[in-house]
Amino acid sequence: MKDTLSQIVYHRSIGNDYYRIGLKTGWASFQPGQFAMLQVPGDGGVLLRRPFSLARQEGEVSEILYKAVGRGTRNLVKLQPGVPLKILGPLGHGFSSSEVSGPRVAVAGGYGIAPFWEWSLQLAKLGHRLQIFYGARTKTDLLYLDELRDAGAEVQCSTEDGSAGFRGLVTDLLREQFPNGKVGRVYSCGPWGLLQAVGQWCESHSIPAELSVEEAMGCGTGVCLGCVVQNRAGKYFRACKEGPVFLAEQLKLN
Amino acid sequence: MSRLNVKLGDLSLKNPVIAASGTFGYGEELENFFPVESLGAVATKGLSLKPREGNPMPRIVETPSGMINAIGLQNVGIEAFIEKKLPYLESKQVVVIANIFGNTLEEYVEIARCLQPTSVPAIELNISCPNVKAGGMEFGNDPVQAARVTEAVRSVFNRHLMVKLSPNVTSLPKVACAVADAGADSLSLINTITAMAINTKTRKPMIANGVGGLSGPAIRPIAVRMVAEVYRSVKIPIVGIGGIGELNDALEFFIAGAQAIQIGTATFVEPNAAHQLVKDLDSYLKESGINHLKELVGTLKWPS
Repeated sequence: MKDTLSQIVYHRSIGNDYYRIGLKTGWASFQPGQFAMLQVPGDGGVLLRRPFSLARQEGEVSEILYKAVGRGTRNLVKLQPGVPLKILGPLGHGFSSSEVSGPRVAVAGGYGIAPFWEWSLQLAKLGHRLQIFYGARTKTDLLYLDELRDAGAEVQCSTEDGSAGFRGLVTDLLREQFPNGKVGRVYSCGPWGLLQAVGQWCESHSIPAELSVEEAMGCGTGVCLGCVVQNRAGKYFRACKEGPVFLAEQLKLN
Repeated sequence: MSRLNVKLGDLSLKNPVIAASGTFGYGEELENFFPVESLGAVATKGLSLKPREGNPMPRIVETPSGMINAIGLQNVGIEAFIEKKLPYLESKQVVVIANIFGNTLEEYVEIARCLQPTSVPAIELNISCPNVKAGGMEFGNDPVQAARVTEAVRSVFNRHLMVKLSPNVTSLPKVACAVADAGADSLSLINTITAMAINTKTRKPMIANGVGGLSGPAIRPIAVRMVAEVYRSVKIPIVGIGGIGELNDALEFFIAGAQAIQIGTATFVEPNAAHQLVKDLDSYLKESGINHLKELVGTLKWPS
């Protein structure tokens, strides 16, 4: 973990308010699921850095996938290659590389797909294939499809409006594919509702599951206590430090 | 860097930069960024008699040039602090300021009693807590209540007693004088300003607790004004807090009358902020031909 002033190498729109930004961090690697706190321009009184999931490390360049949804990210959109930004990372705990018997399955929702690009590549290097179940609202919200396939992952998509792949929720697609729950391990990243459904399905089939939670963060370094999640005993854990990837059994899912 | 050393009464600090309570954990969280002992002191996360889990989420929201938080004083409790967290700070030989709070006067006293036999050289009394027995009104809102809790803690803790003042009062100088008369060795101000942000779609507050404390650059002008006013009213040293991020921010507080300052929210944005400020202050004094920081303190030229 370090704070580096990193130049923007590329920054492009991929439609629908989604952007890919590459920063020359010089990091050697990261564990998929880890994140970074990125400085965004202070226009309009923006103060805090923004947390983003790390999508890919290629040489010295780290890629972040984001959607321009708020003041901070809309300020970010304006920045051109060459501009230096402070980026603090890689932070937190990512997905684990533990031994698995049975298929390794990822379940992603929307831009929660980000960590699974690098994860597909890292697993492929170890001789494993990641089976990705990827749900989004509509076709244009499905991202990184070519990159995931090039990385050796098997991708099945769902959209809520049926514009691509299975029509409905990605968890329904998952249930349909694995009616008996014969899955080795599940990794999931996306909105809380998705994580809940994935966690509960995994629990009903005794599948170990790792869930990457998305929380607003103040500092990313564990001092502000603003990004906590609750376990089943009601105790709080910091998403930025103990997470953002948690074992499903550690989280209060309802 | 002797031009930076500070004496807050009997408490000696190697420099005037203190990590503010609730923004620096228990001192070990940011050890990857700079050596904690490079700071003048570290104010710990607020400590209560028993461990506290804190408030439900969401706990923070960004507002223009600031943030509102209602963490709910999540902390390990005084016992675990002394056993598990204090040894690290002791090993680093950094000045520890234990920030403490209670729901009742008795709780404040009990925590201070626990700290008396330890190595902790200073307590920072957080009086911005609701006094359960006085119908939930904050100790810090009322000069009489503020003096009572100060006096009670004073009687069981014989080292440095700093009292952190809440800005949510009609007259801060009145509270400051009452607390000084009750035996405080120094005052730190300001704590966060009670605030609210509303989600206009759901019509609910943006944080689960409803209201929270506003911090960051947004509150700096208010804090500077309050330091200047309190400086004219009391004789004991003042520690300035409120939206300090860089050199010029800190200079405003020294000129207004603060002998030391605390860095809070800025650490969330720049983990290195406090450490950087120590260096920048030293360079500034050197380049400006100022022999010692104290030459700056309270040099404000009020309009006549």
